[in-house]
Amino acid sequence: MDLKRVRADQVGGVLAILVGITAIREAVRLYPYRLGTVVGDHLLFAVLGGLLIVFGVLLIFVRQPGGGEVDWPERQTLRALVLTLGSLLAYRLLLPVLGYPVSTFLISVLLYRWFGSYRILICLAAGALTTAVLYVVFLLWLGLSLPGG
Amino acid sequence: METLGLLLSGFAEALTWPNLLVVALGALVGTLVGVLPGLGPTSAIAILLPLTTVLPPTQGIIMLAGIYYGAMYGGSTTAILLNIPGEVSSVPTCLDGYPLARQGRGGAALGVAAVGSFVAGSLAVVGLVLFAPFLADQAIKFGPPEYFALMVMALTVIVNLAGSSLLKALTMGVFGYLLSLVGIGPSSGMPRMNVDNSAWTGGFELVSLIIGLFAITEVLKGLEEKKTAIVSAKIKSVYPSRADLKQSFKPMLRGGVLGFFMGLLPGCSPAVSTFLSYDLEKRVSKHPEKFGQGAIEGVAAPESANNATSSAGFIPLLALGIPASPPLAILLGGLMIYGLAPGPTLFAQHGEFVWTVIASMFIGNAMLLVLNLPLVRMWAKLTQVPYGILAPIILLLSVIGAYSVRASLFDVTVAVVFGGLGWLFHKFRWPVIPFVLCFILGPLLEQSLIQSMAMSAGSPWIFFQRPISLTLMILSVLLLFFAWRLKRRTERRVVQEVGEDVDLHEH
Repeated sequence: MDLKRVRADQVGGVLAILVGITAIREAVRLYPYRLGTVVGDHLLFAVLGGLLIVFGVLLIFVRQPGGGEVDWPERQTLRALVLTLGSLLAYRLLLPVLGYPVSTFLISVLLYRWFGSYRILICLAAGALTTAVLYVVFLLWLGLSLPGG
Repeated sequence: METLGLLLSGFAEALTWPNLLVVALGALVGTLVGVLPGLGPTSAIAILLPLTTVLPPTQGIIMLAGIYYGAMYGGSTTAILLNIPGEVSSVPTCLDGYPLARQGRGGAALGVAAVGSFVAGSLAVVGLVLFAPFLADQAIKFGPPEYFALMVMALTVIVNLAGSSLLKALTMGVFGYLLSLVGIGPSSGMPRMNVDNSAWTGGFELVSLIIGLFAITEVLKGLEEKKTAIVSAKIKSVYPSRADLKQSFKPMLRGGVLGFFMGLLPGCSPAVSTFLSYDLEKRVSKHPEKFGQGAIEGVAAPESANNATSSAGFIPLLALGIPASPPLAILLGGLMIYGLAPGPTLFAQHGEFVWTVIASMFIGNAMLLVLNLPLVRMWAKLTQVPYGILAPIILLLSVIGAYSVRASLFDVTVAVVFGGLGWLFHKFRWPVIPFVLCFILGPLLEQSLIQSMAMSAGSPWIFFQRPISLTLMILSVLLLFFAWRLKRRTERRVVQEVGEDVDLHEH
């Protein structure tokens, strides 16, 4: 099979089949805990798994409307997208270690720099201001409990 | 008569100072986020939803209603002043709203939009008053098979939310259902699909999914589009003249009534009614040539229809649990967070609460009229906030929002992952609203299915043997057909106006 000719929807179809198989396996695992043959936690897993397999097969073989070429962003933008998601995951990891104020300050400086390309001093000031405002609103005013580090 | 009494007591409760403050705050914050560049009403509600969870249930829902109306109005503001429709339903508003703004009459257009929204919203409250007693009577007849049939009917909404491919929408819907099953099984008490991870055993949190798929994805989309601040048209007067109001009165009523009845149909998107009302107005006008050049009727009618459909959409939402549009789907999630399961028993079991919310919606509409007109200039300025400042703030708020519901860092991870997935879904044109809708409806669908099967000893005929469930099943098929026809018609109209094929629920 020429891989270049594989459509994105077909890849989606394969993924749907894989998820469908996983759901059916889960239904089989839950079957012993049933209340009746078609009464129990396994039922919907079996139904949905079956549907996903059917839809997946259809997606592979039936061309879908609006499934044309994907307009990918240029390399620099793609890099920025990955960095943004990566920085958010890093923020999630830093939160329990450094606590909310410090990690929020660090990440906000980074985000202002990436998104706005502002000078570092402006980013530091904007980061400090954002962290302070969020701290006052969410921790002091609304009383949310955020990781202390 | 009893309903009127309940509505009046709802007003008495809603008109207390703390609740009024909450409505005002919701309307203001909703408008503020709704007018920010790149954020439509759906994203605005998604970002603000977690903020309401710190409030008691009644105030939380009241604030959500305020946010909803505010965000919708914010969408109209960007449509009129910047020619940027927050949603496809605002496209007809752009057609005449933006030319009006360029003539320096943006304030008048915004004023007419606000008045039209108020008139239409009030019509919808009257409709709710008339419709509610009927629902309360039916409520006691609803058992598990009827609920299951209702969930099937809710699936007809998917046709409207499908985008270009129904098959992809159905696949996303099934995926949403599947994800809602993760966690402890209701009948066996066994953990399901928890991949041997204790965090997964608690299941996925709706708010984190919504934040990921809407707020974070929106920022990523903005990054790609390299959004910059946009200069809006100048505003001379912020108040519509008497002549403007006189000219708009009939279009408002026509748009309001049309939008209201369209909104009663489960699964009818506001985009359908705004285009229908715009076309209707153009047809009945003595000067159809003025449409597209800055006809005030071209703003009044679709805006009224939009608000009437959105407000009337609360009837199938509250009474049947069926959301007609993406913002209402998110709102349904908000109701669920407060343990308030919309459905036929809602009016009977939580009557006082529901009527307070309905009264607040009415007050929220009035509040928008009073607060927003003097603030039009400020909203116009806000549309110029640079993306470099806006995007980091949205991302930081998203992380707090995802974390705050269960104080769980797992939910933050889920939000970020679904943010990335949402961008990919957008790129490959996989609609996310069916996914969210099915995720929300999943637990109720499973519960009613298992209970029905237990009642019938495993026979699926139970859904066709009981009068209400049979009626709902037949209605589902009819609605499916009707929704499909209306969607096709609206898509053709969008292509005519926009020049390209657009997903009706693109946010």
